[in-house]
Amino acid sequence: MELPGGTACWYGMAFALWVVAALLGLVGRRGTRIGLPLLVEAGCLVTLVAAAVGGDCRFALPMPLYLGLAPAAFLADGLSRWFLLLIGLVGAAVVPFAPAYLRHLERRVSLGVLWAALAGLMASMCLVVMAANAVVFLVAWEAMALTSFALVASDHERRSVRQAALVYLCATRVGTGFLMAGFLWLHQITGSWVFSQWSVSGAQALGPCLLILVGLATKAGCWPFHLWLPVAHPAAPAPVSALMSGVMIKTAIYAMARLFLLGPLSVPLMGPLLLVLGAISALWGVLFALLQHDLKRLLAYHSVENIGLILMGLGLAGVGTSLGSPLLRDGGLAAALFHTLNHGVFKSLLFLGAGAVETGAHTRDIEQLGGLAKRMPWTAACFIAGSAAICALPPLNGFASEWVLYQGFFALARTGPSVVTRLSGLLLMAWLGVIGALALGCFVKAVGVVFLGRPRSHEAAHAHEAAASMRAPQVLLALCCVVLGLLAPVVVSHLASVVRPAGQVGSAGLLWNLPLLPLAVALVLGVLAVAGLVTAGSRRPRERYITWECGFGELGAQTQYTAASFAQPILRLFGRVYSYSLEVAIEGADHRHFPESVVVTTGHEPYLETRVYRPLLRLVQRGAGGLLMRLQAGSIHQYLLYMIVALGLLLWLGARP
Amino acid sequence: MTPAMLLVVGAANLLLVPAFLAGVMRKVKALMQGRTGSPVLQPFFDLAKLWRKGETVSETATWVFTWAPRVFLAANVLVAILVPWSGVALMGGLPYAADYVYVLYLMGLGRFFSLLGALDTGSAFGGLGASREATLSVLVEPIVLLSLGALALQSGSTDLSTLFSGPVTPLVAVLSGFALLIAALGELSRMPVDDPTTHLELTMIHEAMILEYSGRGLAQIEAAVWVRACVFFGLASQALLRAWPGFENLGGLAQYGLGLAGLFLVGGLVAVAEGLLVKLNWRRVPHFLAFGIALGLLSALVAAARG
Amino acid sequence: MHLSNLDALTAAAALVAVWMCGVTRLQCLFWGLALQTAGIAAVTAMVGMERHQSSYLLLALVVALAKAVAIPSFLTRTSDRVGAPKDRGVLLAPPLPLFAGCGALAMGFFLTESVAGHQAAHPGAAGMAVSLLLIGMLLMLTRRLAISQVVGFLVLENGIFLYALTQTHGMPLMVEMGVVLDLLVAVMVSGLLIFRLNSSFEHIDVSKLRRLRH
Repeated sequence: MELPGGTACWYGMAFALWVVAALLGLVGRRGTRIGLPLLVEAGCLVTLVAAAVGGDCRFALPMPLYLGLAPAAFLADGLSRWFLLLIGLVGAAVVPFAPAYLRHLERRVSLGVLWAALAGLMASMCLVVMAANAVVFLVAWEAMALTSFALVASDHERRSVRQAALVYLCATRVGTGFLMAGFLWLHQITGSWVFSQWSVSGAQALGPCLLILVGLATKAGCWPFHLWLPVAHPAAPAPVSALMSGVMIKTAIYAMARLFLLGPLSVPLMGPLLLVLGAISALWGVLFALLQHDLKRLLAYHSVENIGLILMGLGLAGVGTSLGSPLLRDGGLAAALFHTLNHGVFKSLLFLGAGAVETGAHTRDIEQLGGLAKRMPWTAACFIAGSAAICALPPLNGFASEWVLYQGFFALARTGPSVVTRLSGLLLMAWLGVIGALALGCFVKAVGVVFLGRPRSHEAAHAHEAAASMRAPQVLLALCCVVLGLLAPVVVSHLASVVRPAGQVGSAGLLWNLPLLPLAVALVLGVLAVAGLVTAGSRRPRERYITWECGFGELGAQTQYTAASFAQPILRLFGRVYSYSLEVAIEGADHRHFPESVVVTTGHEPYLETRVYRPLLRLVQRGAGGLLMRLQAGSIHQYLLYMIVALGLLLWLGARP
Repeated sequence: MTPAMLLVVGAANLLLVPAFLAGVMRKVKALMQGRTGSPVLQPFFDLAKLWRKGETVSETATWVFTWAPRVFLAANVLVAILVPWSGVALMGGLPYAADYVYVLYLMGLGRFFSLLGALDTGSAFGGLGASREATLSVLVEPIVLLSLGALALQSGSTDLSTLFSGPVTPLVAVLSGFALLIAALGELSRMPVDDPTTHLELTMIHEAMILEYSGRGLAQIEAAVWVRACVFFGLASQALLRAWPGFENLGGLAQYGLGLAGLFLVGGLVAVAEGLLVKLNWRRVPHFLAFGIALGLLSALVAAARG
Repeated sequence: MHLSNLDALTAAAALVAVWMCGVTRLQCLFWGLALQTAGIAAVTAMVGMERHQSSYLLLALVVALAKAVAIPSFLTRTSDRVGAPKDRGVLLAPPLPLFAGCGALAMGFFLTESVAGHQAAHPGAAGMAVSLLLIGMLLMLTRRLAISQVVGFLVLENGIFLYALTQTHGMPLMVEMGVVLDLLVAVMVSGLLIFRLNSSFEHIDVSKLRRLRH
C-alpha cells in the first residue's frame, strides 16, 4: 500500500527527524528529558508505520550526494521492510525507557551527545538495511559502528567502560576490514557495486564470501568472533544494550540473508558452514551464560546463543538451496527471520528489565540480589514473561520461531537424499533440545536468584520499582511476545512471501501445521480452571509462616542457593568445554564435624581467549609492533615525507593509462 | 472409536489411571521389600486428604509460589490429553495438536514454573532440587527428541497420533522404547536416578523441590506428577508395543486394553527394579542417562538409514 | 530394509559392544564379551545351517565354549585376584566412549556397501563386523587397565571372525579352530602377564607404564 505522500517520503521524514535530533543533541545540552526523546521516538514510529503498512519502494538521493563510486540508492523490499519493522518496533519501545533510566548517569555522561549518537544509530541502521549497493552499505555500516561505539563509551569515566569500548571498536574495525575486502574482491570480479548484480558462483565466489562471512559474523557476535559482545553489552547503558543486542547485531543477519541466500551469489559450502557455526554458537553462548553472575553479561551470552539459532535457520536455508528443496530453503529463512524479530523483542525486554533492576537495586551482580519480585512486581512479571519467551516456552513468540526451525530440521530428516543428511536433521533437533533445556536452566537461575527468595544485600532489600515510563515499555514488549506468539501462522505465511521473489508462492507456510491458537486458549483456560478449583470452597485459611529451616531458627539469606551453586551441576556436566574446576577446602581442627571455614573455589578457562586470541594478539604485537615503532617515530617531517610519497604513488598509479 | 467412547476413555485416563498407576507401583514396591504396603487406592485417599487440609505458605513466597502448581498441573494435564499414551488418540481429530516438539515444550513450561516455585521460598532444599531437576532435563531432552524423532521419521509426521498409527521397524521401536524408558526414569526422578520415597532431604531431587508445598498446592503437584508418569511410561510402552508388527491392525479397544496393560507392566517393572536397585550417586546419573542418549542415537541412525 | 535373523543377531552383538564402551565395572565388560561372543557363535551355527556344513556347528560350539565361557570366567578370576573392580578409563572417560562407539557403529553402517564381500549372502553383517573391529580398537584405546585391553582385543577379534565367517566362502575348519585355540593361549599368557604386572607395580594401569622411561 502506498502511504500518503509516498512511502519513500516517510522514510525520509524519519531520517530527517533523527538528523535534527542528532544535531540538536550535539549543539545544545537541553531537552534531553523530553525534546530529544520525543524526536527520536517520532522517527521510530514513522519507520514502524512505513515498514508495516507501506509497500516496497526504491529511491536515490540527488546528484550532490553522489558518493563518488556509486549512487546513493536505497531499496525497501520485503526483506528490508522486515528489518525496518524490527528497528522501528524495538526503537519505539526502548526510547521511552531511556530518559528515566539515564537520570542516574546525568552527572557523569553528557546526555546530549548520547541522544545524538542514539539518533545516529537509528538512522544508520535503517540505511544499512535499505542500502541498494555496497558503497552505501559500507558507509552506513561504518556510521552504525561509530555511533554504537560512542554509545558504548558514553560512561567513559569508568575504566572498565573505556576498555570495553576499545574492545568493541577493535572488533568492529577488524570486521569492517574483512567485509570491505570481500566487497572489493566481488567488485573486482563483477565490476559492479550493486548487490543484485553480483552473480558469482562456485570456487570463484568462495574467497570473497568467506571474507564477507567473517566480517558479518564479527558484527553478529557468532562463535568464534563473539568476544566483544559479552564485554560491550554490560558496559553500555541498558537501553543501548537493548538496541544493540536486539537490533544492531541483526543487521549482519540481514546482510547474510541478502547476500548469501536471496542474492545471486551461490556458494554451496555456505549452508553447512552457517549450520555448523550456528550450532556451535548456540551451545557455546548458553554454556557461558550459565557461568555469568552479571545479569547483563548473562543476557549478552544469550545473544550469542540466539544468533546461533538464527544462523542455524540460515544454514538450513543454504542447505535447502543446494539440495534444490524450496521447502527447506523457505522454512529455514522463515525460521531465521521470525526468530530475528522475536529475539529483538524479548531480548530488548530482558535488557530493559536488567536496566530497571540496575536502577532499582544499584547492582547487576545477581549474587547480591534476591527477592525483588516483592519490591518490583511489574519488572519481575515482565522479566519472567521475557524469560519464558527466550526459553521458547509456548505459547510465547520464542516457541513459535523455534518450532519452525524444528520443523525445518524434521523436513531435512524426512526429505534428505542421503543417510547423512537425514541423520543430521534428527541430530540437529536433539541439539536444539539440549540448548533449550540449558537456556531454561539459565533463566530459572537468573529469575530465581534475582527476583525470588530473600534479598542477599542491603541494596536488594531496599530496591524500588522503576518509574512508570520505564515500566510501560516492558509491559508493551511483553505483550508483543504474547501477540507474536499467537499470530505465528500469520507471520509465517507473510514471511513465506518475503523470502520468495515476486510472483512465486512461498512454501514456508506448508511447515506451519500446529494449531497453536486453540492450544494456547486451552492452556490458559486450564490454568484458570485449576486456579478456580483450588480457590473455590477452601474453608481453611492459608497460613503464613517462615520457610522451613530444619528447626535451626532464622538462618539468614546466605543459606539460599546462589547462582553459582544452581549452575554447578550443569557446568560440571559440560566441564570439558571450559575446563571447569571446583575445589572445596574445609578448615578446622575437627573439620569433619565442626568446620570453622569452608572455602569453595570455582574456576574455568575460556580456551578461545587464552589459547587462540591472546597468542594471536601477542604475535601481532611482536611482529607488527617493532615495525610500527619505526614508522611512527613521532617526527612531523617524517609523516610529511610519507604523505608526499603516498601522493606521488597515487598520482603515478592513477595517471597510468 | 465413537466420540462417546473417547469421552469415557478420556475421563478414565485423566481421573482414574494416573493415581491408580501410582498406587500399583507403590504396592509392587512394598511387596518387593517384603511389606504389605498401603492399599492400591491410597493415592486417591492422599489426594482427598491434602485437598481438605489447610495450607501453610512461606512468608518469603510471592505469587509465583501460588501460581506455579496451577501452571504445572494444567500443562501436564494438557499434555496427557494430547499424547496418545494409552493407545488412544483423544485428540486424533485435531491434526498436529499432539506435535511432540510442542508437547515437550509444554512440559518445559510446567517445569519452568515448578522450578521457579521451588526457588521462590528461598529454601536451600528448593534450590538444590531445582538445580538438579534442571540438570536432569538437559540430559533427558535429547533422549526424548532422538527416540521420538526416529519414530517420527518412519511415519513422516511429528504428530504423535499419526506417529503411533503407522508401520514402524521393530528395531527402531525397541531402541526408542528402551531409550524412552531411561528418559522416563530420569524425568520422573525414579530409581536409580533418585529415590522418591526417602525422607532425607539431601538425597532427593523432586521431593526437595516441593518441600515447601502443603495442602492443595501439594495436591496439585502430586496429581501433575502422576499424570506425567503416565505420559512418560505410556510413551515408552507404546513404542515397545510397536515392535510387534500386528499391533497396528488391532481395533481401537484392543489397542487401548493392550496399551493400559503395557503401561501397568512398565510401571510394575520399574517398581520391581526399584526394589532391587540402589540409588546411583548423583555424579553417576549422567553416566546412566548417557546410555539412553546412545540408544536414541542408534535408533535415529537406523531410522535415517531406512529413509 | 527387512532384517534377517542373522542380521539382527550381528546387530545385537554390535549393540552389546557399544554398551561395553560405556561401562566401567570390569564384571559388566566380561558379561558383555560373553554375550556378544555367544551371539557370534549363534551366527556361526546359522551360517553353517545355511551352507549345510555340519563342521560349522562344531566350530560354533568351540567358539561358545572357549570365548563365551572359558575366557570370560578366566578374566573374572584374574580381575578378582588382582583386585581391580573398575576401570575409570583414560583419554575419554566413560560415558563419552559410548558416543564414540555409536559413531563407530554408524561408520560400519555407512561403509557396509563398500566393505561387503563379493556376492556375499549377508552384506549387512560386513558393516557390523567392521564396527566391532573399530569398537574393539576404541576399547583398547580408552581403557586404563591391561585387563580391559585384553577384552578390547577380543572384541576386535570377534569382528575379524565375523567378517571372515560371513563374507568369504569359509576357511578350512582347522584354521578357524587353530585361531580360537591361539586366542585362548594368548589370553592365558596375557593373564599371566597381568599377574606379573600387578606383583611388580602394584597396579595394572597401562597409562602409568610411561613412567618406565625415566
